[in-house]
This record gives sequence, C-alpha cells and structure tokens, in this order.
Amino acid sequence: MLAKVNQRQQMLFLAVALSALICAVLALSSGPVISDWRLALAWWWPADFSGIKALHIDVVTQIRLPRLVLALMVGCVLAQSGCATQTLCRNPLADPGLIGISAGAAVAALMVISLGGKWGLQGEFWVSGGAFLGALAATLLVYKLAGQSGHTPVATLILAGVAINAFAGAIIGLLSYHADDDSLRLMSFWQMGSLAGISWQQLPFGLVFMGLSSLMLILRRRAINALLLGERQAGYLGVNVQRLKREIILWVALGVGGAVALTGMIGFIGLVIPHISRLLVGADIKRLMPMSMLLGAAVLAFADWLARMLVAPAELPIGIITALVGAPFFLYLLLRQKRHHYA
Amino acid sequence: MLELSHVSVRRGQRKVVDGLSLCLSGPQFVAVLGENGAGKSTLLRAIAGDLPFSGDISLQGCSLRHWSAARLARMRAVMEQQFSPPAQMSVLEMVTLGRYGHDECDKEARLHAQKWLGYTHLSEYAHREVASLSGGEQQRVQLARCLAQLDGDSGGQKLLLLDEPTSALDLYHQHACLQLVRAFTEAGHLVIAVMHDVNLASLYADQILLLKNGKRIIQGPPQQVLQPDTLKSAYQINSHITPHPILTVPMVFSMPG
Repeated sequence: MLAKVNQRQQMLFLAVALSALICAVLALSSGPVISDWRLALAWWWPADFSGIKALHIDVVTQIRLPRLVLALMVGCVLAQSGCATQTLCRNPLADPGLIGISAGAAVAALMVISLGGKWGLQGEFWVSGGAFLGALAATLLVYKLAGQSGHTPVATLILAGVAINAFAGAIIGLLSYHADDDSLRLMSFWQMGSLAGISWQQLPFGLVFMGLSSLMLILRRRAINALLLGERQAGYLGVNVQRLKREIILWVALGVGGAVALTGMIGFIGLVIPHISRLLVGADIKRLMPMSMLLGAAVLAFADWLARMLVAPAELPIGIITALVGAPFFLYLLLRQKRHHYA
Repeated sequence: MLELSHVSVRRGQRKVVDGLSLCLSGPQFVAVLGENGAGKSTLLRAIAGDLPFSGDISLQGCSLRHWSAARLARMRAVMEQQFSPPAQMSVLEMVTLGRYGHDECDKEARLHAQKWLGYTHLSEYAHREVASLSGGEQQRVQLARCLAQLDGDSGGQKLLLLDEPTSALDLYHQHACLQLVRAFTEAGHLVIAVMHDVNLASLYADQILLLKNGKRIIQGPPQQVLQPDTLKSAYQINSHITPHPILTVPMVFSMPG
C-alpha cells in the first residue's frame, strides 16, 4: 500500500516536472517576433537550424530567457511562501497576496523608486531591499492582528488583507502620479503584475533574495511540517516555535519582496497552487512544499506565456490571468470553509 | 523523577492550581480526578511546560525551566483533549510526526509509526485522512503519535501526559488503550492521566490524585482514595463503593445527591 502511494506520488512529480518543461519550451519558442519550436534548442544546441537567424537567437537569450527564468522563480517562490504562510496561520486561505504581504512590498518598492533618488537609494538592490522591508512590515502586522491563539480566524485574515490592500492601492495611486514615468502604466504594473521588459541586468538581486528565501524555507521543511499540528503540539514535539515563526516571517518577506520588486503584485498563486498540490500529494510539507514550488513555476511560466500570446503583439498584465482563474477558486474555497464551519 | 514544589498557576485573577507539591516516579500510572474546573488540565499543561507557573517543577532533578524543547520532546509526550487535525493529513503522516525529534531517516520514522498504528488497531486507516475519522479514532491516532514519540532507548525514564485519553472511546477501545498505557508504564515510565471515569481509573491507575479548587484532597492507591466521604467532598455526590466481583478493585456507584 505504502509503496503504491509512493509510486503514485513519484509519477505525479514527474508529470508536473514534465509540464514545467513543456511550459518552458512554449515560453522560449513562441512570441510575436518568431514562433518556431526549434528555438528552444537553437539558443544552446551547437547546430545550424535553417531559417533561424542570429537576431532570433538574441530574442530568445536576451528577452525570452530572462523572462522565463523570472517566471519560474517567482512562481516557485510565491507558491512556496503560500505554503509557509498557510502553515504559519493554520489557515488554507492565507495567501501572501490576499493578506497584504505583496501589497506591503509593492508600496515600499514604489516608494524607493519614486522617492529614493533624493537619498541616493537608487538601483535594483534598494528596490528589492525596500520591497523586503515592506513585505516584512505587512507580514508582522497581519500576524499581530491574528492574536496569540496561533489559529488565525478567516475573517481577521481576510479583513486585514482588505485593509492593507486598500491602503496600498491608495499609496500606489499617489506615488504613481508623483513618479516621472508614465503613471498609468506604472500603476497597472504594480497592481496587476507583469514580467514584460525584464532583462538580465535587472535580475541578480531579486534572484538572490528569492533563492535565499526558497532555500531557507525548504531547509526548514521538517519543522514547518510539525507546525501543521499547531504551535502547542509542535512545541511538545521539540520545535522551537517562536524562533521558527520568526524565521518563516523573515524568509517569506524576503522571497515575496524579491518577487514583487521585479514583477509587481501577482495574486492567487500562493493560494491556488498549494491547495492543488495538497490534493495531489497530501498535507505533509516535506512533499507539499517541493510539489508547490514545481507546480507554481510551471503555472506562472504558462500564465506569462498566455499574457504574451493572448493579445499579441500587445500584452496583458499577468495578474489579470492569475486573478481570472484564482478569484473564483478563492470563492469556492471560502464557500467550502463556510460549509465546514456550519457542518 | 517528577517533582512539584508549591506550584501555583493563575488564570486571570483566579488561582487554578494552588500551591501543589508532588513527587512521582515510574513505573506508575497516576490518574488525576476531580470535578470540572478543579485544575486537572491546567496542572497537566503546567507539567507539560506550556503554562507559566510559580513554584518549581523539576524533571529528573533538573528544573523544567532549564529544559530545551528538543530535549524535553525526547522524554515527555502530551496528548491534548482538544485537537483539530490539519486538512488532507493522513493517519500515517500524523503518527510519523511524533518522530520529529529523533535522528532517523523518513523510512525508519514511518516504520515506528506503523508499529504504533498496529498497537492502536489503526493499521487499516493508515492512508485515510485524519479529519475524516470519528472522534474516538482520532483520539487513538493521538495516542499512537504520543507513544511513537517516546519510543526509543535514549533518555531513561519517560513521562506521558494524557488529558482525558478515553473520553471519546467505545468500551472495547477504552480498555485496549488503557492496557497499552499500562504496558508503557510497566516498561518503567510514568503516566499522568486526567480522567473523568472513576471506575476506569480504579481499574488501571496505581495512584489517584483527587483535586478540588486546585488543591489536593487526597492522593493514594484507588482503595484509599475511592471512599464515599472523599467522593462527597470532591464531587458533591453520594456513592456506594463495592469491590469489583472479579478484579477486587473498588467500583463506584454514584447516586443523585
């Protein structure tokens, strides 16, 4: 029986990894300039492909590849952070976007962009750093609001998110008008998210932030798994709960901060992906977290491909796509929780 | 092994446990009895290291305040009365979590968990979701997890704290689980269980600690504690005590007061 369960889960991991690969091939090989599946090979395979010019290879390596790397990383980190915050709050609705962590990061990043110049805080490092601090502040605020019981009520969580998101929306609106850039475009970027126009030069700090967060969370997966039983039981099992909670908050803020600084707010990944993964591999964080990371990477790469292709040569903000799928899913989860609540 | 000196626990203005001193060591099964609000569960949580208290609690000669969570986890386990299982977690996964503090690979941890699932008659539920089980079955899962946690040679004498371990169990499993707990004490360990069923306590406990308003009324073997006058002062009930026809331990027949 156990061997059967393990085998089934190995197959699932393989299937999800394969779909991530297919999404990657799609992302590299199609777009408004040229669509040819051989592009996914041509940029690294030392052979001559007829009809593919050096320009096309440049499009892949300088435009599509950094964008794909970012999509995979952001999807992975948002889904992983969702896993961690859901365990921290003991609530399957605790998504970094819904409860306001992404909004905190976005506001802080935008503040650095539009006001940081006065204090010499320019460049990607300060934007990512600002986003991290904003995310940290929002996470701590939500966690304090949740109270001491360790079991966060849905209403508190969602209302805290509504408040932080509304406040962040207002600030983003204000700052967008203050900034020199085309304010409308900037606003849609921060509130709906986009991976458009990303280049290798912009990536390093964000990737380091996300990579560190991802690594630290996956290293702590055993302790996070014990936290599933609640703070008290985790403590009885030998987890240093206060320290673990601080670590989770710190690493989630770092990862979400790094992601938001580069892509703006992309919602619902942290909600939907862990939930689907839980249906696939169960609640055990040691399997759930890697599965969420893999699935999150695949889904965000696919969503970004849709964002590029649906209205090509124009682009949709990716947040529209994740919200179109994620928001109904969120409502379904709410209804289900309500039913359980009254059952 | 476990020593309490002048332990008091406050909740708000009220002293729920009031200056209690105790000295217990294994192998022994101690049942804590008393009316609702007598301070039984609070006492258990204080011993578990989970509530602030005044006075001192020491384990194996070392004050509880100096124990690290990791070290404590290897020698004491706590089964709580109220428990809400996380969504989608299987019985095997939950019992395996009991092995958190042990240095072993996942496979070894699972083998330990499967052993205790066998002892608690839960093997066939191993891959079911915990939340889908009945209250009694969930209670057995918790017991299996606690026993799996304390399984192992290291650490010498161990302490198992149970808060109403049989409250949701049917007659068969009440006896099956308490026999399992008894077997655990006979390996040299100490069990402290908060209970409501006086007769089950009489059948299985070596000692009964009877509490009222956070203070001890009496502590001793069942024959000594289960007397009409002590039960009257603990529960305000009239009772008739008669020996069990086969096992000779005292059985309590309560009557409306």
